[in-house]
Amino acid sequence: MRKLATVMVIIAAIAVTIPVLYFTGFMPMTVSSHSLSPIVEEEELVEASELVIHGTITDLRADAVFEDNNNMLLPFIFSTWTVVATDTIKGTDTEAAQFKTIGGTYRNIVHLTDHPSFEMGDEVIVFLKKDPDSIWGESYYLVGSASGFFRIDENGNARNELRDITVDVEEFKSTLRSLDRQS
Amino acid sequence: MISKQLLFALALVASASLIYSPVFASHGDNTPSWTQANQEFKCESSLNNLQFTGSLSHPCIEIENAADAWTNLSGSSWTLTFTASNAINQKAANLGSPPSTIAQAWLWAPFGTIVAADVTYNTQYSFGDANVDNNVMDFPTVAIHELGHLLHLKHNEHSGDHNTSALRDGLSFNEVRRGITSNDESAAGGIYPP
Repeated sequence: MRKLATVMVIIAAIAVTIPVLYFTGFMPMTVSSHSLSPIVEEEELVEASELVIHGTITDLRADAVFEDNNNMLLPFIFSTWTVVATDTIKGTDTEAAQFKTIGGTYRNIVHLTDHPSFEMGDEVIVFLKKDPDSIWGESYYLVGSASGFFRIDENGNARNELRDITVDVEEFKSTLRSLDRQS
Repeated sequence: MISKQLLFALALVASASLIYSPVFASHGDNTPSWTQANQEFKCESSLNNLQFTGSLSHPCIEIENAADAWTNLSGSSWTLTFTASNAINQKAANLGSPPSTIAQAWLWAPFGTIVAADVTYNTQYSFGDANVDNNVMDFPTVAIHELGHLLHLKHNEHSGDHNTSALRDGLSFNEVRRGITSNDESAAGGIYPP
């Protein structure tokens, strides 16, 4: 009788612990997501954006959202990046902005993705907008996904991998401002 | 006595999860895969919310055509067929007003094996047959692309396939690119050999 009680306690402990570990992100899980991005050129990028800034990535916060999939609650990881602006190219002058991408690491959940990802200290130009009715909620997201950012290298060149283009960053910013004035 | 065993059970479960944590797991080449190469998909009613031109049949039929394209590869054992019961979801949602993500495939793999997946198409895009319709994203291209990701194939980066492979990242309005190239088939066969 005592042994039976012990076994039942152990089973109950496992039954409680596993969901707790799962929903707090300690249960290991690999999530992969693969997206199809539109090819978007500068004119459309500027027109569609609410905010275009040149700045540096300084912070990252990952969050897990669990949603129903065939009666399983499965995690989605969203990363919120902070970019400190050195120059606001379109929109209200901004010191810093936050935007979301899909993917990241939340505790033991690793969400691998081909969505844009950054390193702390990356110098970037990002094209941002909001759509509260979308999966992004009240957060900014990258216009055109992988089309919507340029990484600046140590030579002062801005590069977009999806479109395989590299431009001088100051010339590029001048072009973007000109497009904004025209639109 | 009971409290010590309770603590032991809790410690055991917690330790087991940490052994498989990303610190110890490897990524990159150790790509998670399905245990079986025969998978099924179902169409959610949310697909009715897609902006779909009359040149094409219902989204679910076009998705089924795209599934057939991956199923009929001689170099791979992968099959993807339609079912009405619980399976890989094909659905639609607002992924952001354009320009934004056109579509997205998701796969979940606890402990290295894919157990669930779904594909979401963006309700904010106009989809159609770009051979016939203007100012649309070619839906067959998008569907073949996303269903390729269900095999856990990555984007095709072969320069020779730039204009043909549905699996290349990036798509423009009115662009048609529905091909499954020999490189795509080889990659599929590498994960699910014939």
